[in-house]
Amino acid sequence: MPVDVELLLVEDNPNDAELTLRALKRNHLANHMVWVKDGVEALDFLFARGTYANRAQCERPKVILLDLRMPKLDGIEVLTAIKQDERTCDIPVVVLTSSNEDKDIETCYRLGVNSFVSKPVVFEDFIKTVTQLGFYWLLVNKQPAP
Amino acid sequence: MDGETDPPQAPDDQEAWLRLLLDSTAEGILGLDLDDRCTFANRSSIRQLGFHTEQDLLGSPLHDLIHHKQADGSPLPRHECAITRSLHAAAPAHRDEDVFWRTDGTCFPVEYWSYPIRAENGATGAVIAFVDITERKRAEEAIRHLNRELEERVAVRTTQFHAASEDLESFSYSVSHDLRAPLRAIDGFSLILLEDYAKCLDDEGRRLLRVIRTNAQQMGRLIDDILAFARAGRRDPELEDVDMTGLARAVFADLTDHHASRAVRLELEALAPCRADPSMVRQALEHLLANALKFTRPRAVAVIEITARPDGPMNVYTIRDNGVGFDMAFSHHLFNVFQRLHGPEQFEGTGIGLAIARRLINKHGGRIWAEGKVGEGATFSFTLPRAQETTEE
Repeated sequence: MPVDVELLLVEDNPNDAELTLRALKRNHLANHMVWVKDGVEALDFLFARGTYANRAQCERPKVILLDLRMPKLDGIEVLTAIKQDERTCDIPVVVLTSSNEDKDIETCYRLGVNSFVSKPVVFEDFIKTVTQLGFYWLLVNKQPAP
Repeated sequence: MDGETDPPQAPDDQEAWLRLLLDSTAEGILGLDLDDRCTFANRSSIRQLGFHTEQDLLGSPLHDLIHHKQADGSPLPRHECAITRSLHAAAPAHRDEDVFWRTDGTCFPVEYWSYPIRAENGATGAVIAFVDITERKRAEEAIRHLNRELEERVAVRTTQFHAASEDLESFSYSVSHDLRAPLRAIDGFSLILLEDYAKCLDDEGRRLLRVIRTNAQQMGRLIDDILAFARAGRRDPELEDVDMTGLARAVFADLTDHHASRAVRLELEALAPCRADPSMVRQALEHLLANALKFTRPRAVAVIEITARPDGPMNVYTIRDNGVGFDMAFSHHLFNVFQRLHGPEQFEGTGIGLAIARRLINKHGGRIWAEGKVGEGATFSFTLPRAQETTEE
């Protein structure tokens, strides 16, 4: 029986992915997490195509954690695709990135991002940030029924 | 002309007098009858057109002699000639630029005027006055050439400037994205090692890991600060009159909010307003006042005094504190990026605040400088343009 996907992590940097996973696991938030390594894979997953052709499209994550700087399709392009498609536009997207450039923040909000979070360098702060995000989007936030 | 002609005397003879006047002008002057035949030619015109004597011209059709071709060598028919037309219309004419042809078959650029000679029973001919404009044209061409060159140079520089500023943008973008990730990994995995493998490490091993983490975190702060420094100079100031008294008081209140336990006295007189970008001045004041608060920490009562005085078109604002001061011998380092006069164990900070303050003040055409003495406080002064509506002197 397939497990519901609750959290989709789009992150090209394996170290950042591991640290994120560790922060989520510590709070038992990582049980229904899928990690994809670039923008193309993220869209393949969401639209059930390519290597994810057999996935049931109706399974939608409760939240997408999206990095900005990625090879192939970058985070801005992925965000644009998600927010433009009727099937995915209502899935909350949290940009979780090293950037705290005003330009990135403005662009993401214009494209309809639901939250923009800068990854802290200090690991304790990073864990705190990811934990808060996990709790809020997986447990606190209410969403429309699929 | 000395030696060539007798010095002008007023001759009795009217015609001799006219001749003298005509021959002493630098303009070429020619007379025409209604059949376009030359009736007189002054000395300058004979010389410019390459003739020897007036006789060479007299009675000849002028159009055929000097005006039969255009600058490109193509024929100029009589009915298109402005001189001939002015002759027949008995109306004056002026050409800013045309060519006349010499006897040797070469031509030169001229500006000419044609005036009809009117007698009682209508026009009898015309007088043509002309100037050789070779030099004028050369100067005009030189100016055009210089302008073209200047425009090209401006275009090239503008392109280079845009490219450089784009490079800088993408550089700071890449610093902010790419340099932080490895630091997060160093810090994060060091902590994981400390947490998961604590038992395998002795005290020294754990200390070494903490040193790694401290340095990774310090580098993270340096990256944040260098980005803040880059951002501080990015845009041009948007000028308006700024109430410096209110701004200084607000910034001070914000900064002292965090350490209510400290005794800090602000001595603030009414400061003359300046003409500046309010958010940039606020940022500069934040750094300067934060600095004063930091270095007065060892004092039982910190005293920070802010004053202003006019100096020509500028105001000089001065922030004086009773803190630990500094050695004037090193004051030239104070405003440089990441320069610190105190060790991190004494006072925290990366040394970016004063560099940002200087950048913001410089953006307004102002200066910033510091005076101090070890143990006797520091004085920071900066200048900003005076407000347009000066309320006080």
